[in-house]
Amino acid sequence: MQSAFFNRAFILFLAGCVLSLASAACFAQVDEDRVRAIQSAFLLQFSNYVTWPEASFSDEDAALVIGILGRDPFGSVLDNTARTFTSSKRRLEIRRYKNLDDLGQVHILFVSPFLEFDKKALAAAVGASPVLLVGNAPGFLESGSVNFILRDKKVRFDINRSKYQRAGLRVSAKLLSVANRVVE
Amino acid sequence: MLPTKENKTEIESINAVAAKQSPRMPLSFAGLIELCLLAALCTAWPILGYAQSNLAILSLDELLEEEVVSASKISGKAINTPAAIHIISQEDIRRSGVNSVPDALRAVPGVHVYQIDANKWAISSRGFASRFANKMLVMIDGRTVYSPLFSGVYWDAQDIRLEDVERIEVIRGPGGALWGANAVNGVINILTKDAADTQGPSASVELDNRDTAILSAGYGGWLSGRTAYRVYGKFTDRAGLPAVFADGSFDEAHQTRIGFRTDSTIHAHDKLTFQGEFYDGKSGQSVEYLAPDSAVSHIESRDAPVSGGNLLARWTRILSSESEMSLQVYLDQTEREELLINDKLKTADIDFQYGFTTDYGLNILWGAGYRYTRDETVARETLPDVFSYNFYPRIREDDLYSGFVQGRMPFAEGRGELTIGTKVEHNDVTHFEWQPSLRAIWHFNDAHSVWAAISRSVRSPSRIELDANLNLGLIRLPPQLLGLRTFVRFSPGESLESEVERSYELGYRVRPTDAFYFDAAAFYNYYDDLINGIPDGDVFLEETGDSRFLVLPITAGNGMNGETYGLELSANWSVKEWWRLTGGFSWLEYNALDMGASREARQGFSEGQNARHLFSLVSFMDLPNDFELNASVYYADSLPELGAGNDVGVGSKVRFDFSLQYHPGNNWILAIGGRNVFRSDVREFKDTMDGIRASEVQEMFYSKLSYRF
Repeated sequence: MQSAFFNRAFILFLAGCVLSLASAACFAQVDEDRVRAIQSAFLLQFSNYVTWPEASFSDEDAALVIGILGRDPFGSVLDNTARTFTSSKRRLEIRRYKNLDDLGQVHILFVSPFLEFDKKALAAAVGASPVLLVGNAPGFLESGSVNFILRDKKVRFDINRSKYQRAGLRVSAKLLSVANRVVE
Repeated sequence: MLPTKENKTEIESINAVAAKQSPRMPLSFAGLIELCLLAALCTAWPILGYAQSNLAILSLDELLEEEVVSASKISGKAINTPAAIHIISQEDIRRSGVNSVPDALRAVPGVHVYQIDANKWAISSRGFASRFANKMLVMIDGRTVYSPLFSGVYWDAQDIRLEDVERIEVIRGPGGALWGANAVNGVINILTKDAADTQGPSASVELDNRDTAILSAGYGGWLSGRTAYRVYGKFTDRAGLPAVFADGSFDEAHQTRIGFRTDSTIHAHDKLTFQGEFYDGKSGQSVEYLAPDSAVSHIESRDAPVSGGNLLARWTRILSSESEMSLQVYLDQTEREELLINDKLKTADIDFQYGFTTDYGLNILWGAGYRYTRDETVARETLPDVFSYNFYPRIREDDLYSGFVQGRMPFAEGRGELTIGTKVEHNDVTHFEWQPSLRAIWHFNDAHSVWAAISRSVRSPSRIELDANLNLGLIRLPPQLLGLRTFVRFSPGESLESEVERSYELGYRVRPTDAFYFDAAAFYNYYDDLINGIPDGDVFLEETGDSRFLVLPITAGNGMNGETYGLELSANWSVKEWWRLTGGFSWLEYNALDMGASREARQGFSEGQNARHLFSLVSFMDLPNDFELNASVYYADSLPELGAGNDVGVGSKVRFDFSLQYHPGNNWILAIGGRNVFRSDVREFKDTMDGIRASEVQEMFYSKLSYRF
């Protein structure tokens, strides 16, 4: 009987599962959606704690552009958070760029952890233009100014002072004081 | 303003027939988009927000304190809503391994799900379950899929791609104050993911030991930096199930579906969504009937063509954290060529909503809408005259105007909230309908809350009650008289009124720890003017050729009152970080006061069939090495016996499902599982009174491979 076979196989299988459970370790329960949502909110907050040179905006009403380079890890959460983020001084705009060639006028650029980029190419493309480079990968501070990390179940970030200074940006003391680590 | 000239768009050609026959067909898709854009350009909208993301309003310091660990799988919405709400997440759907919306709904406490055959289900809550459960409103992304022909949902036509579902919100009990007529006993709201959340390629293949095959593929990307899109296709071939009273099976079904969705964020505060879906397939069915010229019953089976499509556009604008507006339009067409009747339904709907919060914390949400439906039926000519379905008029057009206003007022420093609101609708048949509700919730502290509600809801008469002339030669009917067969001749009611429900609900929720959540809801509903079949004069003798038979004339009327009451309990327990259990129990009682019809006619036509007790337990386990084991057990009481014809009743049943999933890396999932294991040949529901036959649900073992970028 087919079903009898399946039933027996199933019971064996269940028993196996229970055994393996007995040896199960605790699983770290980091909610990836939550991480992305909090990182999105930080990206928006950065716009209030960083000062860009006037020349980086075409006029008074020009939008502050937050760009995502490479595969977007945020999805709708960044746009939806931005839609209700009302504390920003300027209008915010969110843009996605597939690769470095597509880059346009941008103020905060989040470099996707999924993007395999050439550090030199990124440096060449962004150069000394006033862009806050934000990432979420080990070693990102070698290329950019801000890198998200996880510490004590909370989203934190490291800041590289020399990188944002070279880009001609000023970062408020407040943001520096809450950073996990500030490197030169 | 409203376009009358013919456009060359696809949708226009779909509606061309309707437009010609009906000067009232006032809206075309292109016209609606035009209208929507024009409104956007001409109007300076004020502001107000009720769907804001709370992270956006946090300060930098508050943000630093936000933990990334999800303490509870229970959403804030479920805790703070003064109604019996249950939310099925995408994770629940994926982990439980279900392959249809009806199977996903089995895990919702208090929702009765009975599979009739391989492609038909009877789904309801708080009573009245039947294939055409007429007091349950079902919506997909804000588009109603409730059919005005029978006032039910054709579940086989809603074979959506489950991977793209964000969540399913199920509200048991009345929702008429917000959603309008027919949301009497519950609302099922299926919401699909934002296109920005389905980036990259995705695909899945599911095969089972009964030759069911479900294939799906999708691709998402960014059209520009601001517009995300996805396109997808799905092919389902559901194996047939054995028929209850005969050999073989008749209910194999297949369906091909393609669709798209785009989501654009424009100028930060505007969001524009376009989506559309088209499907085509066949759903097998079988009908059994008596004919006057034959001693045995006839059985006719057919693969009924089922097709349709819809297009929807929604624009939402947030102008501040205190206000929001949205404008939505959609066009929908469905077509079915069933054994008994061919039905073609076109719907055009426009809906506006606006919400704002005043300085005192009072939140006002109001809206207005208009829906046009055009339903066309054609009787099948192959059936004998004694067994026929005719609708007069053949084509019915309806205009439905609606408006609603709802106020939410927090009090006692937010520990309590009072919600008062009403919907007002005007339809062509019963004219004005009011559906007010008063709800209150009180949080004793962070852990305990209690809510209560009083509501009035209505169900407006459906076409089968208004227009149908039916001759039913059914084997499920009362015994023969004088050696002659009895046939039912059903004619539409005159001056039918809506069915009215008065509902009283009381709920209690407790969350003693982050790991445990318990939810209880009790209800008492009283129904006035339930529509049923009322004997219209005496049985008489009729002769056709050589055959003589008795005819029992029945007319639709508001001839029945009834009451239901019951209790629904559910619990969600995170036993360990790697193990979560959810359980549900419900109890339902029904009493009817009928002015005449027999009990079997009542249960067939107006009352439905409901198990008195339901029980469910679902377990989600994370195993080491990227394995997950998920299992569920469902119990339903027996359905009441009709005791007529060769009805055999439906006994109580236990159903056991499991799914073992392996996630090597982030992109692949391999699942194997079983449905209804340990038992086979289970009848979940009876043949419906119109002769549609039921099948036996089998055990099934499946494997599924899915990929997501």
